Amino acid sequence: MLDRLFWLGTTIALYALCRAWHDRRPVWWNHPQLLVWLVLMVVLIAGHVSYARYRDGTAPLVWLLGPAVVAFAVPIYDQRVLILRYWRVLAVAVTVASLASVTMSLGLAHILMLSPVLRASLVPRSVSAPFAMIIAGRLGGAPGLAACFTALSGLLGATIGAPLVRFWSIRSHFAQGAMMGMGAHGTGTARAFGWGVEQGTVAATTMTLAGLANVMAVVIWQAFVG
Amino acid sequence: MSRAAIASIAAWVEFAVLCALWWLADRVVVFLHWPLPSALLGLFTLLLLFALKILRPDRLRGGSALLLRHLLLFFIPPMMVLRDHAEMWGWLGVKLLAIVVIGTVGVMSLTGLLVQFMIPRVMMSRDSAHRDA
Repeated sequence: MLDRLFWLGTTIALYALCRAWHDRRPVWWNHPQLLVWLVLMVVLIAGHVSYARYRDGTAPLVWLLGPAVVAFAVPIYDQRVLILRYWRVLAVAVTVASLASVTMSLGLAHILMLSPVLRASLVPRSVSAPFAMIIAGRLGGAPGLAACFTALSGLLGATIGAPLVRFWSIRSHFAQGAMMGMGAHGTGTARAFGWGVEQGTVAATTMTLAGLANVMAVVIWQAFVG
Repeated sequence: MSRAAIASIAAWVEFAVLCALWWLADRVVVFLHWPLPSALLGLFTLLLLFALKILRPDRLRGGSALLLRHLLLFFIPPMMVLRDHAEMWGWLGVKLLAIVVIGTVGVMSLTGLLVQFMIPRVMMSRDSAHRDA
């Protein structure tokens, strides 16, 4: 029991510290997603703590992913005017980008001869982690690995967002937001809010819709195709 | 009590309500053997309650913000699974990194260009706020 509380407490404390630091002085390497993960990894390896033991203690945090997905209802409802007005653009962008992402992931995984578990974990690489973990679980992948690939995509996408915007001369704020939300999820959305409220709002909306659409696609696929 | 303290307590109560909602949705999904993930049933139910004006979104705003602000804390633990995958700290890791890099650059470029191409056609007339900077 004490051991479990220790890992739970350590994770929350590290996150709180890192979050406060990153909020005050944001640099790419002190992002909580990267730094907390790295520090914990060093602690686990140095202390010869297995993943199973760590997971036992931190299960309550993972449980909160469910309520967090439910909580997305509030921002979705808040953005109903934006969603209804631009539903065509959003639908096309989410569908095309999702298909392209899955094709690229599976195609490259095939060329590089990765295992079926890795392939299934790579499929939802381009959607926000809570949704990606649901998808990976349903496709026979490893939700934890999917979270890693998603997090990596988010960190990378948020960093290369500005250079990509310049390279392709993306002037539309809507397009800037959509690419950050689609490619870089939560991390990209936070960065997009730094560019402007419009970019941030579009990024958040695109991210959420992409997550929902991809989970629904898998549910429908499995119900009808098998 | 200060207004901030009340808002903070309210947010935690709303947080508990959202947890309860998810739990209820999960019971329903398990009981009826639905293929829909419980979290999505909860989300759609909540959207329906908002749309039918049975519940105001303001009632859950604080709790929702609390959960979503700290979303990444909830998936840091599953990311530690890499502890059990020593093989990824090598050639396999390089392959995976390559897939993530190529995929992310590809998806973001495609999305940006596609939306930039579509958006002027959608808002030909009004809404100059969304026009190019």
